Amino acid sequence: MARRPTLPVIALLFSLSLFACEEPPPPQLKLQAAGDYGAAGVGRTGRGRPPSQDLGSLSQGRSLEIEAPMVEVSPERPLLANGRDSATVRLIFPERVPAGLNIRALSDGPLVVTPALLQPDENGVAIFQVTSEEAGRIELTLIMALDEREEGLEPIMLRFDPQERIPMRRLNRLEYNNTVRDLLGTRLRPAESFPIDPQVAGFDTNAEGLTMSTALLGGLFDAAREVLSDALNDAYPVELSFVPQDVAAGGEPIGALWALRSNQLILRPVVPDAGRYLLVFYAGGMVSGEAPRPEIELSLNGEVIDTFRVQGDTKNPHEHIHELELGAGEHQIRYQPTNYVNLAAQNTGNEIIVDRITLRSPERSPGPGLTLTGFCDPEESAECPERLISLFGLRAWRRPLSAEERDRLLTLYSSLTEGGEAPREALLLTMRAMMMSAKFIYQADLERPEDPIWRSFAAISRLSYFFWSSMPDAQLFEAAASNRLQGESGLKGVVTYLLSSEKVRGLARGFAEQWLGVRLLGGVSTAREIFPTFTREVKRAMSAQARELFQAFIGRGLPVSRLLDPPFRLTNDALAAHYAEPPVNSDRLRELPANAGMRRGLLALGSWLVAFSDAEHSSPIRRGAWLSENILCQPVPPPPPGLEIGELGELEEGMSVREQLEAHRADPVCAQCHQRLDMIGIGFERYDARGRAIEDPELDTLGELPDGSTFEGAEGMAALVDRARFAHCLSERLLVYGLGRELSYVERKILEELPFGERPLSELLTALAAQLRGGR
Amino acid sequence: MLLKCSQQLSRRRFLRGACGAALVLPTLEWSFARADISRHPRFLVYYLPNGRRHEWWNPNAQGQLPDESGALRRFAERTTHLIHLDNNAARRSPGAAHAAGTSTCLTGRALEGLSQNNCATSVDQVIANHIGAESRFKSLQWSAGEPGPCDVGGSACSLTQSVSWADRGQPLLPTINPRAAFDQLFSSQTEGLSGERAKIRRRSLRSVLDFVLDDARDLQQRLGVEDRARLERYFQSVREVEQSLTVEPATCDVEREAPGERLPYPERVAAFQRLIQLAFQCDQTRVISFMIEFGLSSRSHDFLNAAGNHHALSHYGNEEGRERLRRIEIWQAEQLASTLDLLRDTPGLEGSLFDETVVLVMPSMGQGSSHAHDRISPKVISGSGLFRPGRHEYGSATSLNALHATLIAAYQIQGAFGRDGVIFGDDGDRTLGELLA
Repeated sequence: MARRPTLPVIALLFSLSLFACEEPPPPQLKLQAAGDYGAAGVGRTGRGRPPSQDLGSLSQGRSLEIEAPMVEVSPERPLLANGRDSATVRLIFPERVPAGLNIRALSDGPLVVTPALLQPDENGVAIFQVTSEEAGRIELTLIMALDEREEGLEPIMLRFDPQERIPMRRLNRLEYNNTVRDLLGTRLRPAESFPIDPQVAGFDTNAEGLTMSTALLGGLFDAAREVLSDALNDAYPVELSFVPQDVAAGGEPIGALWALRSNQLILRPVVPDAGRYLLVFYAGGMVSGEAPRPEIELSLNGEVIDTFRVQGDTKNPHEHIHELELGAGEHQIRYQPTNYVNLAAQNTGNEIIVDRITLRSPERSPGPGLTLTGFCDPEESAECPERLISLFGLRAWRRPLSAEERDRLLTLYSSLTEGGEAPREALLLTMRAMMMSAKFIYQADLERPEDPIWRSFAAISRLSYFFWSSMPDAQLFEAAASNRLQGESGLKGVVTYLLSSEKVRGLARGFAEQWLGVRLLGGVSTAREIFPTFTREVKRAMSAQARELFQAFIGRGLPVSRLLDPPFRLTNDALAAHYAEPPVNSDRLRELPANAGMRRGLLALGSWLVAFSDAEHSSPIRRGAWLSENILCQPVPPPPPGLEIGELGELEEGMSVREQLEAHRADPVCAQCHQRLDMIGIGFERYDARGRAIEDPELDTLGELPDGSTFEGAEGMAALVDRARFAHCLSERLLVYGLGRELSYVERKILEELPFGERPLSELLTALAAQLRGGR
Repeated sequence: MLLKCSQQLSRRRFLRGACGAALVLPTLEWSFARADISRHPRFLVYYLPNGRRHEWWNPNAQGQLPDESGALRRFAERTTHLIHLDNNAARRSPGAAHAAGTSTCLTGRALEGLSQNNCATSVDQVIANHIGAESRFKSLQWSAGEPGPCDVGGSACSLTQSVSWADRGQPLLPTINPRAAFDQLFSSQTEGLSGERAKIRRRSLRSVLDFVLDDARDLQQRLGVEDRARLERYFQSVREVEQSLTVEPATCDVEREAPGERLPYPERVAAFQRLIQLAFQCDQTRVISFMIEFGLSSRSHDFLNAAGNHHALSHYGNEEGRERLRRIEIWQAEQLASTLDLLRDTPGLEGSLFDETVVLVMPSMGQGSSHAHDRISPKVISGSGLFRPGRHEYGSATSLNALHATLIAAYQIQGAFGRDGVIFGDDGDRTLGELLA
């Protein structure tokens, strides 16, 4: 019997009413080229003169010929944005201007010009102040006329370059972890314990959300010490630690420990290289009454390799060590108690309390950071500190240090040794200072903008964080140093390299996870009462499925829009069991061919279907809002201020979901937006709150798109969606993610004009990379 | 049951012996003046998401708390119930009710938009700016919440994930990992060194931070207005971390135990509550805000047999949903009461911590089911004697900001912190004299 939602949908009232669901009219903005002054924002050019400006003649028989004015715009940088930046435009007429010449500055873009009307002073100079309301290209028309007459000389068009500022932003938690991995070779992920980075505009890359606090800075201070020490001290080349919560098994957590009783404990370590490894089982036995000491059967990849008695107790846990010969790749290790006893009445029983399990190389070797950083011993070589500072500085600050910066760091190093620190410690503290510097913690754009090489490093860094969620590697630094990011081919070369690396998984981790609701799955309950098949393995599979779907499109030439109906599907046994599909004989995701009629593609992903459901029932409203924003590109505005939604009465039993939704739209203010959201969302009612398909011919799942076309389910909607629009939507989300801010009107326009629907994702990403690179 | 004390078993205990009795025998060597604690008690904000049902939260006309808040009865003599204040700031904000309710409940200024961090300084930070210098950390922010869905209309998640705001654009996002919070409080600043070497190291760390401040100045000159504001917050944080280093580490000899990693939710709540006690007891800070969950929390309280998205349950549509919501609100009242117990049972500088702390219990809104911002009912619970206990019903004509203005007055803080010279927020232009003892 299919489960039908029983709790009322009205429980989702958080977004009840939407004030203005219509898209606001775009600001009027001329995009066609006019006599391009190229005045502002063109590199360093702050002055310009229209080459062939014909100023024409005045009407009424009075002829006037004057040479076009020189235009100066300051500051000499792209005019930028957010209503807070402004520029001064000076018009300098080279010869005497006739008395009574009025200049009127007209803007039909999002731009304020003051004063609106003025006359050149006695030196032939006229000055306007220009303030942008919104980031974007700015066009200004200067109309010159004698007296108050409308007609006059040929208007002058000024156009400001659309390049906009990319805000300075802090590395987020994912980026910090990846960066210290690549900078030092550490396996620690210290940012896991930093305060969260709140999503703004849907992503945790948004500069607005990446604020700083004392708690975070303190965390960064400790983290820098931990990762430096982990990377530069001797360590086991491979050391995989499993705490009980990592282990895919039943059993019972006790605080940070794990009780092993009749259940088994399974690990799936992945080792990088073939060789000898030590498996350490750190645990103790608890025995009461006449029960025997607990015994364990240990299997490797399905074969029993030992049966051993558990030594030690909870006060003195014991390291049970096994030496294993392992090939590279994944293995399965299983611990199974063989003699569990639990006779509560006789107070007789035994169990095993597990603290942790470690799989590691037999011997320690020098830390991975030594070669990566070129770490040296300052007591052996006098040049060591300076060399290390330059080398490490380039990688930590993602650009070469200035001589001044290097000197300051050397001064710090000396002052630390003079203060009593041993040379090696002083060097480590200096590295730590570099990792506490704003130049490491933040990505900023404007350092030394006058130097093209520094710009090139900033651009490379931005691309690296976009594609990899991490710092550039040696090849990228080399590309930056030789300024190879220039032009279309330069950009393409760099992007091809970025896409070919394994690290491009950072884009799926950073972007796709947030886009597809994966990060919200963590909080979804796995209580078995209602959805017995929804386990942690299913959650993991749904997360991996969403990431891998995106990942698969990066590496192949499939058109972007086929994300909606790819020729393959990704599943594993846990997910198949949850969806009541036949098993696929694999714990890991498998790619299988798929065609029409099969569950496949982005709209059928469990991740977003579950993330935008409620605990016990689906949520047409939340799903509708997600679809509207991410697939149809129609974000949902908030309800009006001061909205009181009133107490809700009991809902009548037996009301259908559609009737419940209709009831809550009774208020016309609410209906304005909810009509749209609810009707899209209801088309996905065939997937329950955990994404399973409901087989019930009675179920009302007829959804409706804003254009009035109707559909049922993921496949139905995929067939109706405007594919170009969908690709445009994805490109918008990606660029918001990459820029760390919301898009300007002009940026949205630019993206709209790019025909991506039938092009591969890699091409779309290359076009976005051009936006991220900045400049020309 | 083989393991009687299994709930308390942690890795550290495990190493020492599973069931050792823990004695709390504080030896107090305070590094701070104790004279001020009665005039400037510690300040704790205890935030509750998704509103409160009036009938389970507010005392009746006789002052009797309903059974659902029965756990708080033992503090009745020290509780000031404010009934039906008006959060005007939230009502005038764009209609993302939970973002507006959570982000304005301590800041008192209407939001201009939802996608930016445009909240003003929150009342706990006004107090922290006044009394925070007396301890190692000016203030601390914690939450047992986990990032979940954020509010509608493109609301920035910080609007539901933070109640404390240092300034416009500067939400103080809570630490959600109790282990990290513990480490911040108690990790040694001397990195395992002792004696002279520890002293050298502390000085070195200050040099490192001085360098960091100095080094960013050239960056500062090359940034736009907004980026400079971001950098300013960074400078401020560096200076505060530096402050925490200049203070000799507190020799606070209290039995303490690092919380485990990845604790289940109820244990995380308990761990943070214990940390509140420890942080106050060891005088690491005087101001804490704690969010038991984030605004718009969709947590399913399975352990209470109250499965279902908490937010959805707050809009319950049937008896079953209402019953589950009731169980959640009862449990939250119990958690609050157990925090108060911890404070009451712990000696402070002179009396108990409870005597030296003002606890502001702050729901995100009034009734969650109707998103009511005009009938919000916070409580002030304190053994400090600064507040007059009892029931004060306002019937929604009185601004929540008047309560904040009253708190500011209670701490004897001079000045106007609100818009256009009002004491606090958009409209906190008077204090509620009847609340003050």
